[in-house]
Amino acid sequence: MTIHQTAIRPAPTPAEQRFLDLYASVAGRLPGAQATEVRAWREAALNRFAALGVPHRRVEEWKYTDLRMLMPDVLPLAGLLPAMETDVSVEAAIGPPLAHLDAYRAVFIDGLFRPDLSTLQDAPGVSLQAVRAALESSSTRAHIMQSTLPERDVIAALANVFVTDGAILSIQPGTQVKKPIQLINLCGNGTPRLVATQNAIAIGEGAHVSLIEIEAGQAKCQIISSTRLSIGAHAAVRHVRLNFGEASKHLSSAAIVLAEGAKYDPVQMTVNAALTRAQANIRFEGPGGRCHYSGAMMLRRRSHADFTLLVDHAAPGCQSRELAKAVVDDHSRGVFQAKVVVERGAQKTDGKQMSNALLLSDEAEFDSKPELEIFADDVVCGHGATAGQLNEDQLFYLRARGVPEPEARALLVAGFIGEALDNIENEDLRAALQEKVNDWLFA
Amino acid sequence: MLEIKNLHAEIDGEEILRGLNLTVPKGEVHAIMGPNGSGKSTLAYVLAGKEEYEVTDGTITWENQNLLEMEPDERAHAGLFLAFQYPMEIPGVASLTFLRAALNAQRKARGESEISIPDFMRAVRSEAEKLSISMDMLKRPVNTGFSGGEKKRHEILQMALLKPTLCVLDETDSGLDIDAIRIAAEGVNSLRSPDRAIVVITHYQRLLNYIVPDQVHVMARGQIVRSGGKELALELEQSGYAAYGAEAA
Repeated sequence: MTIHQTAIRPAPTPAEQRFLDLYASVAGRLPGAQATEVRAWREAALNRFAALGVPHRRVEEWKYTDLRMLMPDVLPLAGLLPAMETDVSVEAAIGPPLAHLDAYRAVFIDGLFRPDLSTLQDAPGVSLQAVRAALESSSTRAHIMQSTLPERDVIAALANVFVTDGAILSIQPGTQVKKPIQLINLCGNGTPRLVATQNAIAIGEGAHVSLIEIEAGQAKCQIISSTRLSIGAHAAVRHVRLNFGEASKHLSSAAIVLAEGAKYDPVQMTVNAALTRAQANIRFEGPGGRCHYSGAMMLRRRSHADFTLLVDHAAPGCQSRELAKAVVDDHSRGVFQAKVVVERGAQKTDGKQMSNALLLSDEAEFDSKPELEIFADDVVCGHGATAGQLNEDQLFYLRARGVPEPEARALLVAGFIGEALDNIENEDLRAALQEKVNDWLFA
Repeated sequence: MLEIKNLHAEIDGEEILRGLNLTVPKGEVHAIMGPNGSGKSTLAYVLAGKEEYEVTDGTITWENQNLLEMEPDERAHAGLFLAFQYPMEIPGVASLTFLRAALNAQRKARGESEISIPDFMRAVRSEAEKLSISMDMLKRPVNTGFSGGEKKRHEILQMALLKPTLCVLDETDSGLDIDAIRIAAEGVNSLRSPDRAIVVITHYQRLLNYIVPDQVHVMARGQIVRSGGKELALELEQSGYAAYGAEAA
């Protein structure tokens, strides 16, 4: 960091200083540290972070998720060599239904790629490289470093500063990937730690693929991740992003770009993680694209989950749908912020969003903030939001059929959340996610 | 035997049932007819245990069990089934999921094991076919997007699968065309048995052309005011409910 930059900036807050100190203590041991350009690349991101600071409630996009309050500490960084002692069973960490799903798999544990647990290397039409290896080789690192950081994106900046590994994935044009691809990012048992990963995924023209990103913490941990996804013309991508872990805090940022006629169907789902901030920045760059987003959050105790979306219609004739379903119990809080921008010239845009919250306790809270920014005149856009309790008449109907009250409630909650999962084509995947819902309901 | 004695019930402080007495022995079908506002649907809800209705006096027993002391699900376990006038839509819960949950809950209450999925599907398929209900419809969420007739047939399907011993049908004919009434009535008739009591609540006589009752009761102002054989329904069809203090319906 140069003297000039620190001079024009207020002194870092304690929260910011902890990240700066963490970087100072690990800088020489991060992958690619021996190369000055990698260091410069990380430090540019560190400067970006220092300029933005740790966001708090007076920063508009973070109004409902005060990171200074919700993540006051910074844990030691995982993913440095020699690797931390860890004992992880993928099946135990993500549960049998997802572990047994017929899928190609790339597994990362404590910030390190585990080829021994991965099968994605064998998928036809798919190439995989680990970020760590790419950063350490002079012939491949330039490719990673050429992408620019999204502005005002603290999460992407931090992931960039501390990244120890991740997946660089590309799907050849026209490939129909037969099985879903799972990218599994686990933080194992053991001492509390911070995991930082970056994924870069390029889907070739006309390719079809299902991606499942799973982040899970088995013990106290922080997982900071960023994903860049570019979808080629007329390609179709189903993208499930699931995180859980009762003591884990997840900050993730995804930047998705759709070319002409591309279809992108993301499902963002969180099951009771201590803290989730899942950002997605979806941009239509070519005409005729389609994005159907659904979000599902199940929160209990003092969980906090925030799904923040920006859907940018930069091209005409695209359709976006956002549906968020939240079940919020105890002292938990759910947040859904979705901003739809229709740029000048993006005529015939069709954009709609809806959020539905089920509040199961008096202390539960759900904040919904829809935003529309429209600079074109021939568009159809709308938004809606509901919040309420379980419907007593539905409950009575189930009980009148002999279903006892606790099961009747669970059935209604599962049905409520299930609407966010209904359009997942792969039945095994849908069933595995529904199983996660049931685990939560009957925990 | 269903025995209702001196039943008083109110909702939001307004008394609807005012000392109702009714006895329905097993093996019989009784019809309850009456003008709008006479308390027919209230009686159905009070039998099923809907919370908003407060019973202020009287007793309801079924096979010597006190229904008023039971939760709605316990009443179902005791053999009661109410076919709703307005079946609830439950978005997100597939009919098949709902049917299996109900069936297994009742089996569990009887100390039986869960039904296997093949046995369950076989049973559903067979009953659904009799009621002209497609399996596709049952994959959809409960009653969501169903037509009025589909909802009523779905009620009869549940009744056929759950095999209750005390069936209460609340205006099952309302909103149905004549073909749909016939299909629903055939479903009810196939459940007639010496072990089962059936109460058919209806405003119109026409349903009783298909489900011929052993007894007909006229309800007015929260009481049974007259009882008789099946010919009483025909008489009401002729003369209307004016004699029982109602406006012409």
